[in-house]
Amino acid sequence: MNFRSTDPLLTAAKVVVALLIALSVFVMAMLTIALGALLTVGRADLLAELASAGAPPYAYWIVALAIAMLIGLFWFAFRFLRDLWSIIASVDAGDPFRPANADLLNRMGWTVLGAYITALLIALQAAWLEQFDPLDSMDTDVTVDLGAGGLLLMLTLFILARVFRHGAAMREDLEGTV
Amino acid sequence: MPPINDDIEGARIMVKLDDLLYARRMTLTELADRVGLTLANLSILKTGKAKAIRFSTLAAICRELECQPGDLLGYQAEPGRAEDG
Repeated sequence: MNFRSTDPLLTAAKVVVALLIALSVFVMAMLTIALGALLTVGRADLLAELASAGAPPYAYWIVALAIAMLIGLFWFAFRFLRDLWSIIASVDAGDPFRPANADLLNRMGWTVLGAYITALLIALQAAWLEQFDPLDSMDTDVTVDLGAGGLLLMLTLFILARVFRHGAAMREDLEGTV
Repeated sequence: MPPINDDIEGARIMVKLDDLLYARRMTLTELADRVGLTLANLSILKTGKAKAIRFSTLAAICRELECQPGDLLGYQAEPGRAEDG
């Protein structure tokens, strides 16, 4: 990863994105370990706790599914950030208007949609689990931002993808002009 | 004479830069220096890979080669298709 750039904004963006990529990978690793533990050594404890809370036995699988979906959510974040890094790198190289960037922006739009749906499903699972009072001690408080921000970001990305496609076509024309 | 724009309805614009340079005993590098274009860009024009030419470029080339745009460019209809007019 090359952080050096003549533009301070791009350097700052690269540092922030790299940190967030590292964070998302770390959280994914931690959640994977937690899921592994839940399915093996922690299984009996959780089942006992769920039973004492009056939750049905399948609540165990709901918890496991929620954690798996959280891993998925961070996977979406990781993909988004990786694509953003590629775009920043192309801007830094002085060549942002290329068809590949339009594809990246399009993919980022779908990633945001995927993350939004995943977050919605996690919120539903968390809301369902929260009805069992004693589970509060397990910290099932999952607050997920389901505001219009995510959808607006998705629309912006899809529109920007089209802008970049036009830009790439114009650039191609300009390249052939002497 | 390399054709350009051969993707547009089979129309071919021929660039006769080679012939003009030969007639003026001028090299491509020399012309590039005189018109203020890069050698790479002038090569694109000469080899017919250009998609468009700016009026300013055309004017500079005509000025240096003492010619008219018509001397530099020619039109050739799609092979097997009757020429207009």
